[in-house]
Amino acid sequence: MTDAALPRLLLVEDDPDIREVAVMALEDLGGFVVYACEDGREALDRAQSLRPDLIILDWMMPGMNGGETLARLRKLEATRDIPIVFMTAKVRSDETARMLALGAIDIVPKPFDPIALPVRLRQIWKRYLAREGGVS
Amino acid sequence: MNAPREIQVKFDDVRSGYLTRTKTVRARLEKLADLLKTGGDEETIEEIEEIVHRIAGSAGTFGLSKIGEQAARAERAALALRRGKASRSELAVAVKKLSAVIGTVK
Repeated sequence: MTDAALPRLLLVEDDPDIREVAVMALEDLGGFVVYACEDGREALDRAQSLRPDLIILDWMMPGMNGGETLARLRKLEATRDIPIVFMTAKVRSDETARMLALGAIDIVPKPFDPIALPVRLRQIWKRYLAREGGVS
Repeated sequence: MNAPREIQVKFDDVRSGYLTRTKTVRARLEKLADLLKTGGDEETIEEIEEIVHRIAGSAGTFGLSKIGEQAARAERAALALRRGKASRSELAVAVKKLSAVIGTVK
């Protein structure tokens, strides 16, 4: 995959330290273009205006959690088809099954390794494109 | 983290801030554990769940695996309490241990 084929990401994460490290890893190590915001409400606004290729969504957030945010994104014309990956410490099999059933394309478990994160996102994106019949 | 020097410096800076903020939570964890031992209400348990979940999901990213592992144990103790399979004092012990582990990291 060339860098030009990398998706533009919207990262939604309420923990400022985790947000900063994730952005650093994805931009500086992975070469992704990353937009970041801290809660579900802001994510709805930014997803509509930025139209990212992929949204990385924290599950546990104050106010609107990841599941509610996903549901609302799916109801908006501008964002309903944007693939979503949950990034979460909720990694019991029943929890991850629920997230996938909601329509997430994959799950990145927390804590994540900053070096491995961009590699994992590239794999997820490549698989998504292949599944959707796109170019990988 | 093994990354180019410039990125490593940035990472170390964020890690330092993270550790400082995590250490400031210790006093609150101690207080919440004490509240649990004397009963504690639903809000006490919810606050513990929120704190330990956040730490369990983040400490490992900064290479603080011992903190992350103890936070995960405390999170499991909270879940067990919810399911009636652990007592409040068991959760309090797990929370106190987490506080102690955080205190040992420099």
